[in-house]
Amino acid sequence: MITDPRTTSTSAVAPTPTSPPGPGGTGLAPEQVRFVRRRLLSRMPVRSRVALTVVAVIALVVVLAPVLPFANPYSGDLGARLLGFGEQGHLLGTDTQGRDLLSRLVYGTRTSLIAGVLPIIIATIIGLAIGVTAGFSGRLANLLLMRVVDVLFAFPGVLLALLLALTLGNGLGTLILALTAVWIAPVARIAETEVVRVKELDFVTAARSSGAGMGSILLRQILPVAVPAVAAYSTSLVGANVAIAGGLGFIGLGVPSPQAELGSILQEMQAAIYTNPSLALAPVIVILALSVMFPLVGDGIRDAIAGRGRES
Amino acid sequence: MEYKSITHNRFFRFVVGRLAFTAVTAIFVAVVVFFAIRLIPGDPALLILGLDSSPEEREELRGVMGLDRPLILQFVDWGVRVLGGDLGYAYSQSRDVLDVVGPALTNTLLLGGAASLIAVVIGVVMGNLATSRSRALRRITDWFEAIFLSAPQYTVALILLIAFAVLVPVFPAGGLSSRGSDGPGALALHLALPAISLALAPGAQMARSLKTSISTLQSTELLPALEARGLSSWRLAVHSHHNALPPMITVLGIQVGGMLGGALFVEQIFSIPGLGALIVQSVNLRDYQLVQGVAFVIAIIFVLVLLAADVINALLDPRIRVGKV
Repeated sequence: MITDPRTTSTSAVAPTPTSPPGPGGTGLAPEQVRFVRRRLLSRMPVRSRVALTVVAVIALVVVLAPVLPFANPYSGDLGARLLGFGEQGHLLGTDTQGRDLLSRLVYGTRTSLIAGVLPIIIATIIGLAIGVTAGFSGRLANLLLMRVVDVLFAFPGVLLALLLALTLGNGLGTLILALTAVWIAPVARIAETEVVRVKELDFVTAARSSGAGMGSILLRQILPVAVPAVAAYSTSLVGANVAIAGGLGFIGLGVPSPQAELGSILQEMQAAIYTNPSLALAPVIVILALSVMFPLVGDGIRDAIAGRGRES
Repeated sequence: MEYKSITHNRFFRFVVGRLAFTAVTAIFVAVVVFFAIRLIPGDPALLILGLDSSPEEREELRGVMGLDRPLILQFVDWGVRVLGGDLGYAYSQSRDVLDVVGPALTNTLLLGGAASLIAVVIGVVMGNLATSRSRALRRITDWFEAIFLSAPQYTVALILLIAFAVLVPVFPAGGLSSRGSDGPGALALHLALPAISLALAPGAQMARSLKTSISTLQSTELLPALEARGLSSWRLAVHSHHNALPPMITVLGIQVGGMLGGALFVEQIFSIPGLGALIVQSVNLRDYQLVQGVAFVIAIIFVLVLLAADVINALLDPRIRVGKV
């Protein structure tokens, strides 16, 4: 799961290199910037665009959940436990406490997306900082820093998250903290590789020989190329992160009840596995969809920006 | 003779370097595991003895457990005992951690071994389908690959469980039957679904790696040259797979970490008494010594697997052991 997606490229898209950031920023007129943005989306493979749409729709529903006509996810009728699909006006049935399952899933997705996205954003910022530092420092410092990252990397992510979640105690905040720790090393590895690669490219040499300072080269030459690549990778990681968060919730180490969270809903609905398997399957499908969609979106971003900052 | 001694020397140096890295990683693992458990708020003595214990009893137990000593000393103590094969005492089971971990380790290794085997089969089959001449076949394989790569193991496990143990009860829904007494057939039946759930992601990842190797090779003139020499298609396949092997082994090695992580939940779902189920139980019982012991064993297995993958690769590919790839 945690492999550099760019070394094992799937889609045989051969993108034409457009607008490699030349010395002194992109230098594009506003109309051209819009043009490039449209091109980026259209250069995504079809399945990535499908995935992006699904993620966007889910995100929209989840953000708007409080104003949409969903049932209260916290009040249940104990007489109406584990109803099947469509019974008594519950589209996806009810859970073990008679709460509306659809609304539980929507609010659960809300929690799980927060636990899925926030740690990746924090870890990306920290990982980028580590990667850039390592990529820019001398051989010895680089070696030391990356060895530390390697050691961290050699610790199974789920196990690290489990130990930290157990140590820090239940709660959304501590869960986010535990998951952040898991992803710093993978992001740092990718960021370092990318910075070292870009550093050697001709336009950086050109900027350097024209007298640009270290900070200017970093901000205007290297980061504009490195950040999108790292962001594509991080987007993919959200899928794996949602999966780990759900797994921790499944074994009772996530967000404490009654707050809805996909992992704990999954665990709860196992009660229906023999009586009404489709009820038990509903949360499984939601977690599966989220975990698969984000890597597809990440792959799409990667393919769309491929060729940028590369020598043609 | 001269040449041989040089290669052996280089191989030796490579292995020593990797061993040193493994040792550092193992120490890091020990530090994380130890301090993660010690930093947990709450009094372990209170947890073990219960709320109705007297303060004197708790104080005595803390003394027995060595919890009143400085943290660093406790760590050194623990490290020395671990090196001697003593992982502590599992209070929730009233047995030594090692005695609890032993049988669980066997089960997890069985599951992991079965999953690795299935993963290799999936990798080779999908990798070849992905480079086949049929465009439709390549498309379908691509889709499956994308899904397999990132589907969480526990969701796959639940889907397989519902499909093939509940709706169409072909496979048993859980347990592992007593090893040996029911024969290997029953064991295979019990292992099938959990092993498949763990094998999809590594299988797809290996398929990717095989596909990359084969398509790289197809762009060279090696295969046409061999074909011109009259080699059978079977022999050609052997040649193209030989080059693909080292990256596939690396991928499998890295993926074992994911498998061990996935096993935490999958073993729980299929009630397989392995390390994963054990750590989940000990988490729920808040038996920290047991969590610590199992986490340590799992992390060490992963570190050793990574080492083994590197050494096997170095044996297979001389370029790796002299560091020129």
